[in-house]
Amino acid sequence: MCDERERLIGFVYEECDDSERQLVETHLDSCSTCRAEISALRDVRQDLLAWRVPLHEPIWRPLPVAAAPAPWWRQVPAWALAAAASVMFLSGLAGGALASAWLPRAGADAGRPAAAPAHAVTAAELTQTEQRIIQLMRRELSGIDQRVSMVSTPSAARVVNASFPTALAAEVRGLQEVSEERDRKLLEVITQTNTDLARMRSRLRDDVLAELRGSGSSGGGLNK
Amino acid sequence: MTRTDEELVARASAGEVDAFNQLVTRWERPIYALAYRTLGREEDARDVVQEAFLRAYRGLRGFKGEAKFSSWLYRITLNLCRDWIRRERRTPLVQVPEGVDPVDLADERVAPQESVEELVARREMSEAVAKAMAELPEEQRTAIMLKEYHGLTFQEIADMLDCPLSTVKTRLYQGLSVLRRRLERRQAEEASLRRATWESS
Repeated sequence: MCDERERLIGFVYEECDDSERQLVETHLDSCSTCRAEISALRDVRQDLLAWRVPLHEPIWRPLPVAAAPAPWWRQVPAWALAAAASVMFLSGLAGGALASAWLPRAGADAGRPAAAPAHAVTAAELTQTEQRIIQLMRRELSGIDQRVSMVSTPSAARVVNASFPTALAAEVRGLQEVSEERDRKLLEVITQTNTDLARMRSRLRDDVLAELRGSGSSGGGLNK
Repeated sequence: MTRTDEELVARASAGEVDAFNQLVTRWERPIYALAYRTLGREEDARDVVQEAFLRAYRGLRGFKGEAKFSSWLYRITLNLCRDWIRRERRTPLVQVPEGVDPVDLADERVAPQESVEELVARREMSEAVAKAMAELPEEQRTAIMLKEYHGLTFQEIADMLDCPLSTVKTRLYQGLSVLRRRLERRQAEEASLRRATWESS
């Protein structure tokens, strides 16, 4: 064992299995040279503890954590909000026109059994359609939000990585794509909403006209 | 709740920035210590630490977890230190402060009852160890640093340095033996100096 002193290293660092430790201990009982060697190695290890590292301020500035995403309606661009408001206004207008067409007849026909048109649009249906549109928009926006979040989280972290233009360029491209996708989706939603409303208006007009023709009344209805 | 490195690495890889910040908070001190002891200069060590974490962040998705996260960080740091030394074409420096400032010493006091004499002796010993280490061959110095100051196992060191386990033990034994002789010589020189001072006074 005196010829292979590297074996003592495992013993000094207590990183050897039981059989090897037993072997070294047995040897040390009869070898003063190796005992002195072990003692010297332990002493120098003790000396090494004196090597201090100077205190230092934190080196790495923490990466900025992405803020919680804003509510979906705050992330909708102003033009989209304006478009949605127009849609709502138009639907309200259509509802008002419908009501003005129906209400006088309801008064004139009082006392007569009401013959409800086969496809009459009710207030409940209008509310339902409105809710459906809102849900549709919300779902689309939520999907977009998730994608935006996936792309923008690491990007916030890379603020300090300005020295890596390639990564930054890729990141900007990613954000641009998401932004474009978001705009496209919103346009789809608004187009779909307009189509729904046009269809609904057409149905309303047909219903009212059918009812007017059926009754032969000239009470204030919608003109064709 | 304290998360393991593996959990934090998984979260950071998925884009959770705060998870990476936590990993840095956990490992900045040891990584700085390794860089400082390898390069011997605070400013260089700071630069290397900054670069090491930047590289780790950029390479996080490529880290498959075959080794511990800390081992991976140590490897990045050592490679950077090696490049640094090669680029600067110099051997590791040892920063030796000029004179002894009692205020600095008071800051370094590890125990309230430690006397100024003990503080001075400890500081001198620190400098002596730093000098002796700087004179060792790089592979011996690295093995000793990873074992003594970072508690890596023989196997972890072997994996990190891409060498057999027996080589790690040999480097440790040879490095410690050289250090022992140098430190003993220094102690002998100091003892004779003190004796000479005492005799002349």
